[in-house]
Formats: sequence, structure tokens, C-alpha cells
Amino acid sequence: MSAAMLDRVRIGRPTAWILLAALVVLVVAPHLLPQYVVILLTQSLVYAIVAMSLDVLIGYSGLGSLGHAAFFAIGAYATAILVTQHQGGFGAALLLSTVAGALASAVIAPLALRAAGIYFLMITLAIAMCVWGLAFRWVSLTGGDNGITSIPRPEIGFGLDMGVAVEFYYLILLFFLACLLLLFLLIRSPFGQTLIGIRDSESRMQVLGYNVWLHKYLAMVIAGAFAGLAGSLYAYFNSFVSPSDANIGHCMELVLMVSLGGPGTLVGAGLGALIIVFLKNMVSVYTKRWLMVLAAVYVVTALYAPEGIMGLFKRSASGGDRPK
Amino acid sequence: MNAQRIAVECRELTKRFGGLEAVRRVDLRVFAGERRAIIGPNGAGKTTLFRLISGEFPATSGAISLFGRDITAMPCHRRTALGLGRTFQITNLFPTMTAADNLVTAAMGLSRTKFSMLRPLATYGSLYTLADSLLDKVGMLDKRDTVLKFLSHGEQRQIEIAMALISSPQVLLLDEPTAGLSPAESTMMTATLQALDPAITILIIEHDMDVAFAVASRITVLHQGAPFAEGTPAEIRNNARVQEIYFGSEE
Amino acid sequence: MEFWVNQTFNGISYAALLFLLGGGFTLIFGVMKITNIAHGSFYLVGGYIGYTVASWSGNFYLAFLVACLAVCLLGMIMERWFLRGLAGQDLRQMLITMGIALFLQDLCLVIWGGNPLTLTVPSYLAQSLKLGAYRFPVLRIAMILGAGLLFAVLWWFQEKTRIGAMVRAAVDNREMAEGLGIKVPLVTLGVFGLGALLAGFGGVLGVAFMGLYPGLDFELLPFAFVVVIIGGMGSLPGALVGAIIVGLIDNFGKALFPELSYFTLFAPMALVLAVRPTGLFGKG
Repeated sequence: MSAAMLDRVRIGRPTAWILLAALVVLVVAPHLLPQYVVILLTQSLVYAIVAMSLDVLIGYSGLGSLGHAAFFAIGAYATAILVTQHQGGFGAALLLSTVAGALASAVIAPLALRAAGIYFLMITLAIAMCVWGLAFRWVSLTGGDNGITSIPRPEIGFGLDMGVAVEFYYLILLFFLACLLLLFLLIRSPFGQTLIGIRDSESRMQVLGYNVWLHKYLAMVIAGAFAGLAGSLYAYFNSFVSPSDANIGHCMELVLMVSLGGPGTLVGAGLGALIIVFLKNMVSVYTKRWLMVLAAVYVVTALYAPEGIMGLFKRSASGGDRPK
Repeated sequence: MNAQRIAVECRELTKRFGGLEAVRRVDLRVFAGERRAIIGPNGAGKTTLFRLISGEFPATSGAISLFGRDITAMPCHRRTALGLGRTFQITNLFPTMTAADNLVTAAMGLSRTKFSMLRPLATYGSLYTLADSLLDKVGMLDKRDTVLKFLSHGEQRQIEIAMALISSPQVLLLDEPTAGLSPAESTMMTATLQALDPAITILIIEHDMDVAFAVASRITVLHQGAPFAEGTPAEIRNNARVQEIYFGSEE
Repeated sequence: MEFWVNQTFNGISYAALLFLLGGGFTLIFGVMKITNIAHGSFYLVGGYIGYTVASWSGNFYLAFLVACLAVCLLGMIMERWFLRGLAGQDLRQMLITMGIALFLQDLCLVIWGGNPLTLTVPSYLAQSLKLGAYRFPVLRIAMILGAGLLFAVLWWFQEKTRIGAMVRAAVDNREMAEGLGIKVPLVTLGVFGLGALLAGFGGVLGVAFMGLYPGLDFELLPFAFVVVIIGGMGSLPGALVGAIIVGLIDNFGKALFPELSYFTLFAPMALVLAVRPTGLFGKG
């Protein structure tokens, strides 16, 4: 990676080395860690994808979309139904879920965008809860509270068995890296810059000639697509999909992942996903009161670390805010 | 200066907020290439008028046209596409971006590039060249890589002007460009304004009368949302009624 | 005919509950612009406390009193200690209210266990009123009357008293209210407590009406949201109208299209958003 190339995508040298190290760790991990950790890592990577797509909205566009888990769940259900009831293949499932996520967002976003600020937050959450309710009550389609079970792992050929945890992990890792790359390019592209402008000053963007509504809409549809994709991967990972995947707990957990990791940093959302997934799974081994631990994370993050972990890193790395 | 062509026209333009009429049946006619100052005591409705013209607020009644084209129902961004530009009274820039990035964002406003989603922005050299040329024009080139919130107020006001100019507007709305500036900075700003392309039609709101009289060829006075007087700087300066409505307020 | 009358009555009695939930929610939202995710938790805690007091003392009305006071106090503590410093920071506030909601949910699980609870009401409330071919449970009638009375009292308070005027001022324009010398922090504390109290009241009623179980807090929250979105945020009359609309639609929806009943809820919300985003009675 030459200095010029790093310049083009605005990554500092230290950050690049850290990212490279993280990549090495992720690649090597399955050979060093016990299987249950690899499974947790797999889950983290799936959530990292949807959390990063949410960061595009919350961190980069200033859109507090609290209902993002709904698109994740829609994608999960799409794959679950296609695979268990219609014998759909891997590629078809991925495509269907991604499209379903994007379409749902395309329909919902115009409603949500009727409002701004706190109203937007509330409306997106309300709409997501309606999606949850739909999944809950539309028993003939979704199996209701029982959900859809026994989703088989995908067949991808090459003599690989996705039933093996390590091999599935590498598949998910590939998807994670691809999504990370795509989202990163989006953020650094002209369109990504317009989102940052909208976040910083909508009124200025309007008089500069931007159709702000359209940009917000596109951002939401794109984020919905990535959420749908992640949902598909989740369905394969978990082999079980239920309405609770779209409930308010999941919606807010995604927001927590973004906030904890650091809004507006993209990889922060991935970090947040890793932390929350591990926390939820490991704490419950030691105490039944893991919900209270999670509650504490919510409160502490909101009160003391709104910029998240990456935000704190950036602050200490640059020695505080300093002009160039 | 093309005295025949009307750049901006408002007809009985009115804006009501609940019970309050902020702008009352304003008739305004600004010719192409003209420099028109809009003055008046606080609360006269000057900034509201600008917001109506730029499209940030919808009008309650009345009509606005730009070069003969009715824009009353047009959203903000389409008016910009027709050649309108605006600066803000309270500096309205992107605090987390560098000066150059601010201008690049402004430069993209009317360009198809803004929808490009995969190619890094940093590779669009022509945008950065354009941004640099405008920074140079307002004397801010050496600050191009400074994050905006670290610039002084005066420097930010200069960048406000550059932001509005980058789309090559035909009509420029300047909202108190010298707000909060020191006398030295005001002088510099006045020089910048006077050096603007004479083909651009300029409407300027100002509380600083020296600046208004120096830049404008014609003055419109607003009082309590309605047109109060109109004339050359000399006429307005000698108008006793205008002095009266300012009695008790500063400058 | 019987179907329509019964469903309408059921819908309106459910609306009484929804008004209590949504009314508190909309007050909190209107004055402090906070989306209180812990609002369902107020309902839950109120219900559990009410159940305990009623079971222990045998007095139904004492249960209401204690539960309402306890939840009111809880709400005020929450506002004072956790939310006060974060005015205007929507996302952070929501994260905190979520954390508190989870904490309360788990606390209730620890104290009261996971089994559903019901409350036996005094015998005069357990009967049904017979009107011709119809039988209307007295409890439901009491709920409707109670909620209606509460609305009247609150509305009178808000419109006709000085304190009510201060609340309205704080809703309309917080800065201006402060400028006029209104102690806005006191107003927000009081309104938060009142909102919590209403939810807690609804909780006690709810235990008697439909039982109580863990997870009900998050189950009812969407209804509170939709009531407020349809009725208009910050408006008490809006909450009443919204509650009636939601109550009726949910009841009819469940009866006529059970699988799509959430969709029948979503449709009017979407309609209101499309046509009048601030809600039927909303301001701004």
C-alpha cells in the first residue's frame, strides 16, 4: 500500500497498520481459538455488517434510524422462507434478501423521512415494531412466534462443508471484508461526502443545490440492502429465524453497537458488534442477570462515551483536538 | 449592466408564521447586474425575505420569479440550479471538514458527480483545483487543509463567500457578510464584495451602513416586514423617515 | 350487529388502557422531546407493585395509590439523575431509557418471577351489565369511565390552571418559557413523574384487565408509539383520539384479519404520516 493510495482513501499510516493487524488476527483466529469462540466471531461478523450499514445512517448521514433491525429480519426471513419452503440456492437467497431489505427500505423511508430529528427516531422505531408484529402474527408466512427452523447451511461447492464451523467462518469473513470494502468506498466517494454534508448542515446543502431528500432516501435504501444481506447470512448462521430478531431489543442493540464502537468511524460499528455479541454470550455464562449488565453498558455508553471507543482512540491519538 | 432584464422579482410576497406576518406584501424588482442592499431595523423581515427567495421557506402568498421564470413553488435545490446562490448570516459551513473539502462539497452541488458511489472523492482532481482557485480568490488558499472549526470567524466569513461563488451563480444573496467582523476585516470583506464579477446580480442584507452604501447601487428599506422606502444610497441617506425608524437602534 | 357492538365496546375499553399509556408518553415527549423507551417499564412496574399491594392488603384502591406514587417517584428519579443533563441529545437519551428499561425488566423478573400474574378485582367490578342481548363487563365500563374522567381532569388542569399553562408554555417554546421565569426543570420533573404515574395507573388496571407478564413492557410500547404518532406528539386530546382509533382498529383487526392485524395498525399510522406528519392534533 503506497502512501499515495492511502492518501486517496484518507487513511493515516498508523490506522492502516492497525487494520492490517486486525485482518491478520481475523484470518488466523480459527486455528488458535476454541470452536465456540470461532462461532461467536462468526456471529460478530454478521452483526458487524448490519451495524456498519447502520453507521452509514447514524454516523455519516445524521439519520437516527432506530428501526434498522427490521430490514435485517426481513432479509433473514426471506432467506429462511426461500430455503426451507422453496429449496432456494445460496446465490438466490442472498439476492432475494438483499433486494427485500432494499425494497422494504424503499417503501418505509418516504414515510420516515416525513419527519426529522426526534420524530424520525420515533417513527423508524415504530415502523420496525410493526414489522416485528407482522412477523409475529402472520403465522402462515412466518411461523409466528415459533419462527422458521432448520435452515440448512448453504452449499457452495469446492468440496467445502459449511456445516463445519471454521469453514463457515471463512465464508462469513469474506462477506464481511467485501461489505467493509464496499461501505468504505461509499463513505469516501462523492456520495458519501454529501451524506457528511447533510449531517453537518442540511440547510447549507439545500442552498448548494443538493436534493437532500433524495440523498437521504438513497442512503436508507443502500443501508437497507446491506442489512438484508446480513440478515440472509444470519439465517444461515443461526439456522433459526424468529420475530424477536426484529424486536425493540435488537433494534436498540444495533444502535448501541454503533454508539459504543464510535459513530461515524465505520469500523467502530464492527468493533461494537464484536463487543456486544461477546458480552451477551459470555456474561450469560456467569450470571443470569446479563440483561442488567447490558443495561449498564447502555447507560455508561450514553453518559460517558457517546463518541464510542474509536472516538476515544482518535482523541488520544491526535493528542486532543488540534488544528493542522 | 443590462438595465432591461429583471433578475429577481417579488410580487406581493407574504410570509405568515401563525399570527405573525414576517414579510408583508413585498414588491421587489432587481435588475440583472444590479447591487441592491436590503436594510431595515431588526425584525424587519430581511432574512425571512432571503429565505423566501432562496426557497428555504415556502411563501404564504405572492410570487417570486428569477429571470422571468416563476420559482414560487420550486424547491430550494432547483432554484440553485437556476443560478441562485446564498450566504448565511450565521456562518453555516461544515465544521468537521477542511476548507478545501468544504468548497469541494459546494462545487459538487450542481454536478452529477455527487451521485458517484464507488470512486474515492480524492481522485476528482478538477474539483480540488476549482476549490483551490476560489480559496485563492478570497485569500484563504494557505488555509485549505485546516479543519473549518479551527478557522477564525473572519476567515470563515470569507469562506462563506467562496462557497456561494463556486457554483458561478447569476444571483447572489449575501446575508450580513460582515456580521461579527472587526473593522479591518469588514474593510477587507467590502473589497472582496466590490471585486465581484459585475455581471452577477447581488442582493445584500447589511446592518453596517458603510458597507451597504459602498457596495450597493440601490437600497430597499424594509420595516416590519413591508417595503418602506427605496432609492439610491444618497436618497436613502437623506431620507428623514428612514432615519426615524432607525432611531433607538444601532448603526 | 352483536359482533360490531361487542367489538366496538372492547375496542374502546382497550383504548382506555392505551390512553393511559399513550397519554403519559405524549406528555413526556411533548415537554422534553424524549422518546421514553422505559415507558412500558413504568406500566410493568406499576402493575407488579399494584399486584403485590392488592394481594397483601386486599384493597384494590390502595394498590392504585401505592403503585402510582411509586412509579411517579421512579419517573422523577430517572429524569433527575439520568436524563436531565442530556437535553437535546436524542440518541443518547434513547440509549439511557433503553438501559433503564432493560434494568427494570430484569429487576421485575428477579422480584416477581416469570409467571403471568392476574389480579382479582372486587366482586362488584367482576360482574357484567346486561343490556338486552348484550353483556358488558363492569370492569371495562369502569376503565372507560376512569380513563375518560382522568382525561377530563388532565385537560382541565392543562387548559385552565396556571401550572397547566406553564406546562403548555414549556411544550411550545422551552427557551421562551425559561425567559418568562418559568422553572422549566421543575416542569420537566413534574411532567415526567405525571407521565410515569399515568403509565403505572394503566399497569394496575392492566393486571386486572388482561394480566401481567415479563415482556409486556416491550409488547405494549409499539401501541404507545402509534397512539402518539396518530394523535400528535405532545397533545392529550390527540392521545385520546389516537387511543380510540388504535383500540378500535386493533380489536377489529384481530377479529377480522388476525394474521395482518399489525398491518391494520400500520396503515393508519402510515396514512397520518403521509398526510399530516405531526399527527392529527400535533403542533409544528
